[in-house]
Amino acid sequence: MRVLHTKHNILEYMTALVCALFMSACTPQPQPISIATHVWPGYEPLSIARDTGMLDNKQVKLVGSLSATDSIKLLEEGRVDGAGLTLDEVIRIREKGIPISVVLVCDISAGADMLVARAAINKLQGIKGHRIAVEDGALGALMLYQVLQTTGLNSDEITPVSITIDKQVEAWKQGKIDAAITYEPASSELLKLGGKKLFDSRQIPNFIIDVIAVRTSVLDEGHAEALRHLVAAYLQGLKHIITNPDDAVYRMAPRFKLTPEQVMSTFKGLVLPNLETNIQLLSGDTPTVLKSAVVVAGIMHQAGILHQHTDFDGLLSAKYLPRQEK
Amino acid sequence: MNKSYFCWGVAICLSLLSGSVFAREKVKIAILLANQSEQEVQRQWAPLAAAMNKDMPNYHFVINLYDAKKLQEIVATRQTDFVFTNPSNYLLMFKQSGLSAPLATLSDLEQGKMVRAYGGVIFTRADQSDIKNLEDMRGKKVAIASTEAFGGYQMQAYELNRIGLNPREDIQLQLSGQPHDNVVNAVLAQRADIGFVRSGILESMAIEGKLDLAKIRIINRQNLPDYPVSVSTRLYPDWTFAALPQTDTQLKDEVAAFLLTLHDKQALAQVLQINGFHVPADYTPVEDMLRELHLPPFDHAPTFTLVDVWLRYRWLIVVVLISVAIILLLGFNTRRVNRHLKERSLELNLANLQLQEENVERKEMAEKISNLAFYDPLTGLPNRRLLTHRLNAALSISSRNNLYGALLFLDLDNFKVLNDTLGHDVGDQLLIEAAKRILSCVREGDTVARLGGDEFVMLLEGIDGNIEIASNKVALISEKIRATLSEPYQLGDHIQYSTPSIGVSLYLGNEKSLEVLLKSADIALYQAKNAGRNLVRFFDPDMQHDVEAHAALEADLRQAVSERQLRLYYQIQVDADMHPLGAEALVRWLHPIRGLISPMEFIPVAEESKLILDIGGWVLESACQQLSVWAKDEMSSQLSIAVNVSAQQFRQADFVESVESMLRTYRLNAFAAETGVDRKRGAE
Repeated sequence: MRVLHTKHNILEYMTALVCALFMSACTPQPQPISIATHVWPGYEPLSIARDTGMLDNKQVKLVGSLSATDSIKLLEEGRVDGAGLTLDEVIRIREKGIPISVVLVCDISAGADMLVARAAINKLQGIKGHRIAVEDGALGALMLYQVLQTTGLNSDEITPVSITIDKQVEAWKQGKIDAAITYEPASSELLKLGGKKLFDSRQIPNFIIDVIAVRTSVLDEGHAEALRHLVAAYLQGLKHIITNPDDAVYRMAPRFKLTPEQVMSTFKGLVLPNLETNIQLLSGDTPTVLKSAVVVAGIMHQAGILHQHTDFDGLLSAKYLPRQEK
Repeated sequence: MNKSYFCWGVAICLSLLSGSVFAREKVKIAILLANQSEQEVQRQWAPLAAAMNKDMPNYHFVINLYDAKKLQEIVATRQTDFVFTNPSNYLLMFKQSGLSAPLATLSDLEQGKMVRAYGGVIFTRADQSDIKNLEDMRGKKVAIASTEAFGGYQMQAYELNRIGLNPREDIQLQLSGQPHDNVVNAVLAQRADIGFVRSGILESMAIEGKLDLAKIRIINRQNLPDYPVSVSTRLYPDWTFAALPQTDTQLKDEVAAFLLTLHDKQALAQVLQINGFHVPADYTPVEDMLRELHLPPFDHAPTFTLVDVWLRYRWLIVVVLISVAIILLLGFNTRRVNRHLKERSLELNLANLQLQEENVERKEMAEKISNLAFYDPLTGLPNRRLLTHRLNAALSISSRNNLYGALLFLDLDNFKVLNDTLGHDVGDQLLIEAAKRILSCVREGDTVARLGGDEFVMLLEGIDGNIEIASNKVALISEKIRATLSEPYQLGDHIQYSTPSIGVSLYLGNEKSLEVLLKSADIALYQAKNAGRNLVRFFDPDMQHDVEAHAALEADLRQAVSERQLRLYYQIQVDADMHPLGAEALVRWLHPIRGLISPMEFIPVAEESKLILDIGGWVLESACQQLSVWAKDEMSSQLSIAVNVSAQQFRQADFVESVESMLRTYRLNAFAAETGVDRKRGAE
């Protein structure tokens, strides 16, 4: 009898083991995540996914924020698990002691960020001695740095004017600035007012990157399902924008306060990486984004934005990217 | 009828304009009959053909209207040159009938506003309060024009499908047929709870005065502020204008160019009530939707080859196979072990059964042995051994509780005689019956034992603490036993009479040892017997003394016989004239310590111990010797001697012969010897 019992136990054990093999994905209890995003074309796929029911709000809660600064605040205060941020913002937040990791690249600026100057300054070197509007923060610093690098000018050979993006057009009109490091929608306005584009982010590919980054602490088993869903839903939303723009424009237009016909123009100068591109950007021996991060961090150190040694460990996580697109 | 009249009307009109209608190449445009009636569709699109005829004078464009099924047939058989249809119908024919890529996509007008896409509407009556969202639609009656309607069914079905409702099973579809007005009417007339129509229908009906929008409520309304009409689904590209593969390429180019520039022809666009046509839209979302809903042309399950399955689920398959193999292996092993165990188990069961039988036998044997050891096999009563056990225990208990108990010795008077005369069987029956009767007289806890023969012992425990009360109670019980056992016995055919004698000894604690107690009861019994039988006697110490004296006397007597301490005296017997007649022989015992002892005292002892036979023989012989001495003297030769002979002696089988031989030895006349049997013992 004793032998019989032992055998049964082994059988039960093996069966349980096999079951566990199949069910391991279901445990532990899945937990939801919250993501803050502000209105930006690169984050639109998430909003589209939510509006069309492709994003399960029980798994991923989207928190609308007013700006990137607002998103950072929400993240710092612990009110969200992740946010749509630029790569340089990610590096800066990490330096502040909040470990976050990039799980998805939303867009790469390929011309969306630009330097627009008054028509009189007809070449880039002409900015020497002029007042240039630049936003406080990494993005502005990065662009300005690249502009100076390209022209070979020293930072004291221009006059940077700290001014936020929403005040640029007014400052331009009032003659307070001669050039501006700018982006949509202000960039279009400045161009309409006779400005000339002398430099744009196409010349510095893969440096201005918008990403979804989440706290490194939620990269655990409990949140894995929600994170996979976040990434998958983003990619579905992206596909929807690309394949059914006729529907998507009606959904995006109110957020951008544009007409459906105008809204697609906001994607100009932006590369929206699909799954395959994201895999290239985030995985491999030295992922493209990691290379960019190293360069960006170097610029930020030089610009005095970063002060400590930058740790790139755990900056990227490609493991929530789906095997194949739905 | 109406249709054909209208067609002819158009044809006549065209011939008037061109002058040579028959020289032109006829070009057929097939249009799907969807949400509007045939007349409405014909009325709407006839101006398009007219304008095209005017714009492309080499061709004669003819519009034909078909329902979905017929249209597919027309396309499959290449009976038309162009097709204008909804996206899902287009895709179906694109996949199944080789319809070419679209030339242009319709750009419609809704409420005077250009729209790039259209959607589906889900609505209910405003007072239908139980339907708030898509989930509430489960089990509800839903009016639709047709399952082939893209904006009137498929778009809505896709939304339901996305939230997990099966549009074929979880809602009740009611086909109301085209146009979509029928659907609205079905809902308003409460024939259905919910209606599906394409976007814009409700608003158009409202403008035409056919519907009060306040009476309906939109379900799952999409928040699209820039879209001029209500929608419940996502938006999809509008109808498509496509050519068949065989259609002349130049004709296709010309038609496409005409359509794409139509928005410039304001007047025509106004007549057609459209904005114009766009370059072809991406119909991928439509394809995805149809695929997900398993609608034609995706209504057949894709055929996967085993290789596909293997490539996709390689690792899962490997894991499952290994698991199954392990489970099977363990299963087989378990079965093998089980079978083995079953066999062993069977063997064990058999062995067990045998053991059980043996055990039962052994138990029975043990019981038997125990019974033999402790019980009397005839009556089933405890035997001497068990009695001794119980008695020991009883004495201990009595010493603890200070209650008197009693030991009763009982034997059946004359049992030996009865046993010898009627046989052992009858004797045994009597014993069994006697045992039953005794048991009926005592309490349950009392012990009734049989020591052997007709000797029974009763142990009555815990009677009373007071000796007098205890004595009385025991006397009552004893008397009851005596009386009960004195009742006649029915043994077989005979009725037998038997009486008991009972000796009783009371005990308290360990005052008396076991041996003494037994002896006391025995003495009491003896006394009862001596006192005449069928009696109860209690032991008392005097009795004890008597018995001891009796025993001592017997021992002395035995010695006296061997040491010739007995003397024979002759008492002369005379007649009335005092002439001597003879003498009576009288035995006297001169005890060395006690002196002369009366025969009254020692004869009974001699009789009991059978010494009487020796004594009697000696007396007879002595008397004969005396007679022979007297015979030699004339004076005494006539004398006789009277000798008392005990009944025992008399009952000796050779008594007569031994007397005769003695007479011969001493040459005596038999008449001289007189024997007197002791009257008292004569009964024995």
